[in-house]
Amino acid sequence: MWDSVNNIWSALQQPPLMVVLYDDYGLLESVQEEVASIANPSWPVRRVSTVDEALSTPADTLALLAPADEGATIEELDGGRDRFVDRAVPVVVFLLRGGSGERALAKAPSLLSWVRSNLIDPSEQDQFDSDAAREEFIRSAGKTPEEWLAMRRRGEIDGSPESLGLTYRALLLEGPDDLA
Amino acid sequence: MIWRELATQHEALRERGYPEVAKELRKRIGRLAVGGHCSQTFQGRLSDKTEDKRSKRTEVLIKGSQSPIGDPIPLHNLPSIEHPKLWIYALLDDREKRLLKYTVRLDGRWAADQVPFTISVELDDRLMGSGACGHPILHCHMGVDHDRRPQFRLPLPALTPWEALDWLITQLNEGHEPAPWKAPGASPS
Repeated sequence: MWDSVNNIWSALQQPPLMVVLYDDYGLLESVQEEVASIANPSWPVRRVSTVDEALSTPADTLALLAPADEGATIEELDGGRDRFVDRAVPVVVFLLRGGSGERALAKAPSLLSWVRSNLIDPSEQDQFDSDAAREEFIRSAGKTPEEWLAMRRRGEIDGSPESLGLTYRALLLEGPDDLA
Repeated sequence: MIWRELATQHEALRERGYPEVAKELRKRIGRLAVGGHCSQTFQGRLSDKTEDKRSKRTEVLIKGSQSPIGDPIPLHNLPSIEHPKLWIYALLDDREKRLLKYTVRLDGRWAADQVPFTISVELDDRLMGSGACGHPILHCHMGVDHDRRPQFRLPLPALTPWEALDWLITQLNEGHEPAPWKAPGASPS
């Protein structure tokens, strides 16, 4: 969840509801832990699976709602938004990308408009153009990242701030052996 | 031999992936914010600059252009220090789930005499220097700055980046102590 971290943090400051899309059931727990790690550490955290369970948590608790029935949950949320207005801390709804919950959300325009600014889709936000970054590096350094690091490892790179910056960049861009 | 044992422990530190490192560091930043030591926004800014799909390497840092390791976090409410700035940087190989490199660094000036200082805990990405004694893989630089002598590398036990952050902050603020003694005279554990 790369650049979406800041978007999650911002959404967490805006109760009562936010939605996070995720790619695979196997990633759900990890995504939930990621959101919890971005939240204010003084907030208690509860994992729940229904709207009623989410609403039964204290208003200052971070409720992580992973619905067993995503479609029905979205319909319930759409019909009961008023029940959430007193939340001091958001309820975070996790929906599987391409699942029944995301499809139901697309058909619930009023709910969608309500949560749109708090709808987090990491796949749309996490773009990094590796090829462009390598080309930029080669323009700056006159070498590939691998060539630069080989020189550094031979002690042929000076310790200037500019060289240090290029070294850190090269460490990020250095390909594995089969790609170098 | 202690130095080789230490090097083995330092290498074992690398066996961890991005989620754990990012989450634990963010939690520490959140606690610093709750304690009034930094802006809450930094918890959400401890982001990953990039995930390079080719190299599968990921950086964890405060995005910014002030240094190769990102922007510092200005700290507050550390009375003995003026203008303390904290840098956090980690480089991970997501393909191998390995921590390649990290830096947890704090710069500031002692309020009493305005003398600058830097404390920097660093895990090197490779073996450097003469050996495990002269250049421990995980070490700490302490001094006026990075350029002036003494430029000793103090060996440290195998601390994760977040444990290094706990250690560093606790040196400056006992209120951050993560492992308080239970009582005077009691056993350490």
